[in-house]
Amino acid sequence: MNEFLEGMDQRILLGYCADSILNRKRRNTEIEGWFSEGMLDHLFYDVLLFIMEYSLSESGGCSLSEVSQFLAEDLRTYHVSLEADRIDQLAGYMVKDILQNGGSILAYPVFHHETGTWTEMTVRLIEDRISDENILLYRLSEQGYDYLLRTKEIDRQFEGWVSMLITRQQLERRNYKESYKQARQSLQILRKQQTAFEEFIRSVRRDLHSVENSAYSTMIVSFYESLEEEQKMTREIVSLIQEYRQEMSVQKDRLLDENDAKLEESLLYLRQMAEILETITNTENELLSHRYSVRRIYEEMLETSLLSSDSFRRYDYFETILKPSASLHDEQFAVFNVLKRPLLMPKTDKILNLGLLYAPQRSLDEEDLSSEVILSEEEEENYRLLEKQKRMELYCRSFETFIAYAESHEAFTVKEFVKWCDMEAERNDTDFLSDTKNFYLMFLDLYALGTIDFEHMDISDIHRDETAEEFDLPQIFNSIHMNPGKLNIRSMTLHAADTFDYYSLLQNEDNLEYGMNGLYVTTERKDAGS
Amino acid sequence: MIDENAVRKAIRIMKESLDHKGVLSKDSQPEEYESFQDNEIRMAVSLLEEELDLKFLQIRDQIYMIPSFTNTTFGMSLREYRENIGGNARLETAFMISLIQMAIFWLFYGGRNSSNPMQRDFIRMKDLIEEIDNLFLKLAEEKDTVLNFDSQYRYNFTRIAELWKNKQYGGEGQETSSKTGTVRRAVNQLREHGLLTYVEDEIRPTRELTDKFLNYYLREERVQEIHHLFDTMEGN
Repeated sequence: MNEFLEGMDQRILLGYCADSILNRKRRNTEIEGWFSEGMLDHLFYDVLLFIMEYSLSESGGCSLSEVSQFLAEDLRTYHVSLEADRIDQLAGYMVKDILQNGGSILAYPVFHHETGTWTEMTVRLIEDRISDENILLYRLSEQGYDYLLRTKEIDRQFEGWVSMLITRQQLERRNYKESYKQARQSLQILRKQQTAFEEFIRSVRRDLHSVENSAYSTMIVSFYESLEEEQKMTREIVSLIQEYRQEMSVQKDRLLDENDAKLEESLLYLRQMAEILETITNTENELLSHRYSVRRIYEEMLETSLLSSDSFRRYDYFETILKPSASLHDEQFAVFNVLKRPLLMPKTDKILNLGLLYAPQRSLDEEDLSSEVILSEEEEENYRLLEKQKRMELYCRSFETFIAYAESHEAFTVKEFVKWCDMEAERNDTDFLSDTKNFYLMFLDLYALGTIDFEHMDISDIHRDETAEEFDLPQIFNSIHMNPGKLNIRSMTLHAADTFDYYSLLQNEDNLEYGMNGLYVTTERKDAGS
Repeated sequence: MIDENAVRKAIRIMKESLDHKGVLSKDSQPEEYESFQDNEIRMAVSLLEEELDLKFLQIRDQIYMIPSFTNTTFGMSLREYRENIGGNARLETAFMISLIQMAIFWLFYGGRNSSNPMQRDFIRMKDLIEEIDNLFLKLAEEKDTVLNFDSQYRYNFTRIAELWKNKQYGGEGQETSSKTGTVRRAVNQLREHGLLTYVEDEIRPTRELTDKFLNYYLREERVQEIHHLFDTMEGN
């Protein structure tokens, strides 16, 4: 390999960083059309710099609405006026669609001359986190810092301690303005290091195998060595600032009422510098205090991965799960329950109640009453009444549907009826009709009645009582305001071909079809006889 | 012979896991977390794992209790599962929602890089719907999946894909007449199980989902279990 090609991968990656902004892939032509050529390119850099500026503060990132506010102000300098909702739309487009690539990882193919291989390298200029208030906060990623700093500064200023050295030198030369600017630069570099550090921990946690050993030694050894060096320098600068401020205060006192603008300005710079240095000191201390925890996390992870050192190969999810899922049909629906079982919370909220074993009807309750809520007697009574009312309503609706079907069919199986209901449900987009459990209950009661004589059924004495406990046909006719004598059906009989089970079992899972398949209905119709 | 004390501690780990939605953490359950590191207690735990058909998986400072595919003790019955998806949803809606959920996992963890298959950090609702549109088309094109429609079944994938296609975008709630409502319902079940977050219209996986997916679910050892599961279904 030619030596001059060394490190080419990093150079081209920086090029791709620019590409991600300037040749943005997820272009929204509508928004792009609001600006003249090139203007939006500038705005992207403005927003990135704004996010970088924001990361100097302690808040740890800016929200999308803060980006909007900045854009509102920034657009004025370009003499562009946009309505507030368009500015919000613009902010979302810039941050989420382009800078975050809509959430998808943005990768470019990069050739490494040293190894002669191609790999995919990721471009991610900003990163986000969810704040305690459930707001997304954005800040620059390490790469983002790298990119912005490299497009302005020269390489040697990159190292934190070099930047601090320059700050100190300028301060010693009493060049307050420049040393203030350099101190800000130092803080930005430190923030970049902090982000790199956090990203490192995250990648160690996510997948230890993706972290190269060299990255670990860079982080633990070199980073901390230079950080210690930097901290020394910080202390020196802090004491220099104190010294100069004291000196100048004395000078100022001597001047009494005379106003020395130059002195005031210098004092202002020193005060601002002192604030920045305080943040730098805190950040350095925080990073140093984590030094050993990083080592511990790394070692823990190494241990965990050694413990489970059997192959960490992963299968192709699409081929193994998604494709076969698309060949399932309705009766195989249970597969999804099984597939998701390892991921969902273990089911623990059911309390085994022995009474249930001896009261089979209880399991048919619409609601599971075994919750932990304790109701007063009165509340419980009201609750029961409501439940009964609900059940009665369901009975009525089911029966109404059933009788309408029975009027036009002489003999049919319950299965046919349920199928018809499903089609109806689909047409009307309601879920009620396909509630097979409810049907099951109704058929169970109808079956128990054997042959039902509609012609001679007397409903005259019945008072409307929506809270009746039992399935009572005259009662139901009354509730749905229907006269059984006027139906086209004289009588109806329900037969069971074989056992009329509660559940038919399939694959050890309770099948969704309640055991109604073997049930037949025959009707004696008035029009058929005549 | 395992020491009685170790058995006691193993049961305690089990109980605490059950009481805390299947997750133990070093900060919140330090005692159980520490016990888990002990070799003898770990042996007792492995007996529980065997007998109860589950696995305890430690990822850094958290221990997850993971019921295996075949677990019927801590897994939901089909009826509970359906109710959990969305009370009175029709069976085909529940089918569609389940398929969407499997697709969401794929969108996050279906990357080609097998050492880190995570392919995105978040996805917005509109992008998710678009991805599902594309996926359903892609699945329908896959030759193997196109079944001859058998009238004895009420529906299959072809029907689900058609139903999906006919749904409209939009809507605020979880009504399944729209694509957005259906996807929201799919997301909500996973949110309730602590697997996804949904903030500012962006859907993200939680640490729990990523931990479970990358360290357990996607591992090659699962392949046989999954093949077996689909094979049994085919014989059905």
